[in-house]
Amino acid sequence: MGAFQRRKSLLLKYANIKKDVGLEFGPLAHPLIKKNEGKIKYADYLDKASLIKRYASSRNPDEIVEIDYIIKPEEPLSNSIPEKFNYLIACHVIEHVPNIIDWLLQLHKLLLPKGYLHLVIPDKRYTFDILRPPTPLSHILDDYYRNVQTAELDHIYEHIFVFRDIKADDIWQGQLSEHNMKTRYSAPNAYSAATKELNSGKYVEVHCHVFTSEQFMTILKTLIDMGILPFTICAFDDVINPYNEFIVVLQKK
Amino acid sequence: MVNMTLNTIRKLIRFIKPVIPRSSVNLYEHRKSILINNVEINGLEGLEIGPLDKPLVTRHDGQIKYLDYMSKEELIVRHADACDPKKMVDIDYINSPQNELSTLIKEKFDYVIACHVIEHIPNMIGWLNDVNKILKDGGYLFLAIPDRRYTFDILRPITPLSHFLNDYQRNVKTADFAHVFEHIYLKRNVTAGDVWNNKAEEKIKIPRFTAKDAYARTLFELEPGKYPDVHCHVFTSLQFLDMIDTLISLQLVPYTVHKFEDVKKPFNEFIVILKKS
Repeated sequence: MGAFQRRKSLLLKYANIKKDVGLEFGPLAHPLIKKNEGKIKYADYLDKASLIKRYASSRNPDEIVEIDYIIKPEEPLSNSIPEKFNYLIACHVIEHVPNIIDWLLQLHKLLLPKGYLHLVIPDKRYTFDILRPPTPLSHILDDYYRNVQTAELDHIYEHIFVFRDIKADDIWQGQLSEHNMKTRYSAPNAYSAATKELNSGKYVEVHCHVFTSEQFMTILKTLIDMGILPFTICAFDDVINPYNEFIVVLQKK
Repeated sequence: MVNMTLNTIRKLIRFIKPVIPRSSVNLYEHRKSILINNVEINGLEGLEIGPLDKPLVTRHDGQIKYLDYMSKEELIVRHADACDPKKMVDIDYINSPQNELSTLIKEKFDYVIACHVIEHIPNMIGWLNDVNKILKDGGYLFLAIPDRRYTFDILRPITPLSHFLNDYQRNVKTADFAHVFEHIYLKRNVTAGDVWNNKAEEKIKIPRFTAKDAYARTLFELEPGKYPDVHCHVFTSLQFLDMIDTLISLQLVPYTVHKFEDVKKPFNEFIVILKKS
């Protein structure tokens, strides 16, 4: 079973795609649900033409889908998405979000009662984030408390400095070499690159936060227990060989 | 260790010299011997931050001034449970933690001592630069720093370099949410003695607050006008040294590392002496 099938089969246990209305964030060239399979809409930060340009080197332009809702970073999702859904899909999105609690609460508002949120999340132990410290609960609460809406210097610096050239296969096959552990930048170069990005005024696309599956689930359960996130956890599929991701399905309370 | 460079390793080798532990050494003798073996204090002018009832350099020892964020009388009340009021020293400079030292203090010192202070500072890079301004050229900053592996911070994650860069970039002035929440939520009733005697494991399991209670207490502590006094950041010894090395290479802290003394049984702290460059 490929990564894509694994994601999809778990979603299909909860969402009735023939009947339900869904929204997928950042589908690019591989939407989990295609338009001919169900009532699905797509949302991203850019329109199709800009996405083709941006991902010219890594995605087939013919397969990049039309975007129904173009969302603006720093603005509430409900500003650009005026309808509600039975299910939402976000594959490899949450790690880019500067304020996770705020984002999950916004998604909560986009869901119909009992609606599902399907999250696919990279586990840092199997990605280029391998050396980054997992983001602690206190950091996630702090982002929410301060209403952080853009990537901050710590996010950008870590993304640049601690990035390592590693793929899930390298880990699963136990074939890490010195090459994988090389830094791309010296600390001073990473710092000046991060500061420049921060001051550019542009949307900075980095992995703001990094997780391991256990630590993400602990944080999620704690935030639910605290009464901050009005969701229940329906399913958790841990990382398996040869993939780099785990899957969590949440249901709106 | 993420940022460990060859340079750091070389420095470590230089700094870690075998020391024969003496069984009856107390904490203050330990600190003081490292101070006087590495910093000339005779006839020179020093400033000690937060001396309470146990200054490392007494007025009898040398030309020392004391700084704290309250007067002697207020400190006696605040530390009634832990300090001997008769030994509490007079404070020469009273500075609230939100104000820069270099704004208040117009003189310069040959050395500054800060024992168990840096972990309370909301913006570490900003503070190291502030202290730098009240040091004479070539002056020393003596830091005794608790290592989280031997204190009630045992469960807290090490504060990464990126966090300090962010505090500095945001010009953080007071303890913020992340600092206060972790201090409340993850504090454990563990002492250095528990750790050295392998008795910490059971104590670590006992939480003081649920996450929900810790969250409510944090919000209360952060109400306007309050300046919560917490361990904003936590360190382990080599990670701190490595981080200082990186901050020096980033030209964010104008010092060199003059001396490093790792945690020694039965204590909970390591010592770093920085030299103004």
